[in-house]
Amino acid sequence: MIPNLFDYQRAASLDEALALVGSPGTKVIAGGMSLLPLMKLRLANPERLVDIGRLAELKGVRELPDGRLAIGALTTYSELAVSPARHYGLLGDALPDIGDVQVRNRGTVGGAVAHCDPASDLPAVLLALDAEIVARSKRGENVYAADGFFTGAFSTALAEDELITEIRLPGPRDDAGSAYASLAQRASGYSIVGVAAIVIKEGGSAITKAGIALTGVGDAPYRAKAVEAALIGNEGTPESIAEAATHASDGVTVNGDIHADSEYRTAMAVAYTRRAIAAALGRLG
Amino acid sequence: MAEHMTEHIALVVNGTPREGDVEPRRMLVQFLREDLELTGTHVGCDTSQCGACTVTIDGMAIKSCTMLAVQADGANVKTIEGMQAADGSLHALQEGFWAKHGLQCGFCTPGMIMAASDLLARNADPTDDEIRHAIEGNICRCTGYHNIVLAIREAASLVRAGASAPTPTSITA
Ligand SMILES: Cc1cc2nc3c(=O)[nH]c(=O)nc-3n(C[C@H](O)[C@H](O)[C@H](O)COP(=O)(O)OP(=O)(O)OC[C@H]3O[C@@H](n4cnc5c(N)ncnc54)[C@H](O)[C@@H]3O)c2cc1C
Ligand code: FES
Ligand code: FES
Repeated sequence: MIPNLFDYQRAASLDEALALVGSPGTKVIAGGMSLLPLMKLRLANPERLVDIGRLAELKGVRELPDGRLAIGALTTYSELAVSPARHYGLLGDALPDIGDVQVRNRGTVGGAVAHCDPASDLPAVLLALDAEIVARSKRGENVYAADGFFTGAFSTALAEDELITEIRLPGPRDDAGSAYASLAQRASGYSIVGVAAIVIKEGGSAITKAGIALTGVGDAPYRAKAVEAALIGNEGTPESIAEAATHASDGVTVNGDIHADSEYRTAMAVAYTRRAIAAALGRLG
Repeated sequence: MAEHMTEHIALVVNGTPREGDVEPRRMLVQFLREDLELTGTHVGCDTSQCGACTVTIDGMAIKSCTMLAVQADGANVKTIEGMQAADGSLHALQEGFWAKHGLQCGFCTPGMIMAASDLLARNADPTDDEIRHAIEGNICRCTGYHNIVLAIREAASLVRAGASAPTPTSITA
């Protein structure tokens, strides 16, 4: 289990990293929790690794003047879990169950987003929250909406020469409730189905905005727009939540594997969507 | 393919500065076991699943089979060999595993203890659930987890009682 030979370069600055990314055979490494296992299996064989792990400018969580939260790409799950981001109900739910403590101590937000594992939890959270993914290249800065960024299994809209620098979450709001509910595969802990839900009631008793996103179900984490549409104007009765949740995998080719065939996964997508919405509404009071 | 260079790394392991020249593809666990001959850190799965290779970096548990030695350049690493005190007295976690029969073959034990040390640094009085959550990344194939949880709970109470006091059993190095 030894990777192929490669050259190693530790980037001393973001500009130095950006000068190297995108050249043929080059891969960046952050925490290495996804990349190194692939390299050990020789499923990934980069000729050169650019280590961005020490770039202080990509670390940490800060509040922007308009109340949004900016999360540096190199922020680890463990750091995120003790940052103001934990106050977002769905992140507070999702973070403690991602991998194990050793994975959370090394795995970074930027790595999770760039890697886009079809069962990755964080992308679903970012989709539901309508987060922004900020990328940089020699050409300049590019801001992607989470919706549309995760294009397929292990593929994203990120260009070859771009690095993710930051994730931006909308500011917390009192009229929103959110939750994350997932069915984990027993041995690996990865989500068979993971559902991120946020519901907003502006004024009255009816839901005026909803963000529902699923992971583990399709090729890539996705927004369940039919569920969202069914929730708008909804007062959140158990029956209406259950009805909305039936649309959890509308238009999606549902995965089947040894852990869960597509019929079971489809049923679990509905069940966990219902639970996530109910929990989100419960937090709204 | 062009000639590949080795990289010079300097880090602190169990309080002692250590250096070495490593291929970039060398994992931290190989550097510890093969170059520094610290074989207390084990390799179970070599695929980041079992936690036998767990060491701490600045007190945080990591899987050393899934970290390049070059990534640990400059780091402060602790392995199971660094847990006992200079006078040979056992760390509270080692005491706990001894007292509560937290091991059988002992293969998983160094990793369990290093993962638990990360927990106890953050939480001096963990519940059984919190202990189980903290060792989720560590697999034991023989003891079962029950006594391991008891061992970590015992260690926590030893620490709270003041682990700096000499403990009843001790070994000499
Ligand atoms: C045992 C284990 C259990 C796990 N369980 C879960 C789980 O339950 N749920 C879950 O969601 N995930 C899980 N993971 C995956 C984990 O979340 C990711 O491996 C981790 O977050 C990736 O981040 P990293 O910094 O380690 O990325 P790396 O491995 O360093 O990089 C991953 C990929 O992203 C690229 N990359 C990294 N940073 C950037 C950047 N800033 N800009 C552009 N590209 C970048 C790299 O080139 C590489 O292609 C698990 C992993 C392991 C090993
Ligand atoms: S040997 Fe590293 S996790 Fe199993
Ligand atoms: S004591 Fe044998 S594997 Fe845990």
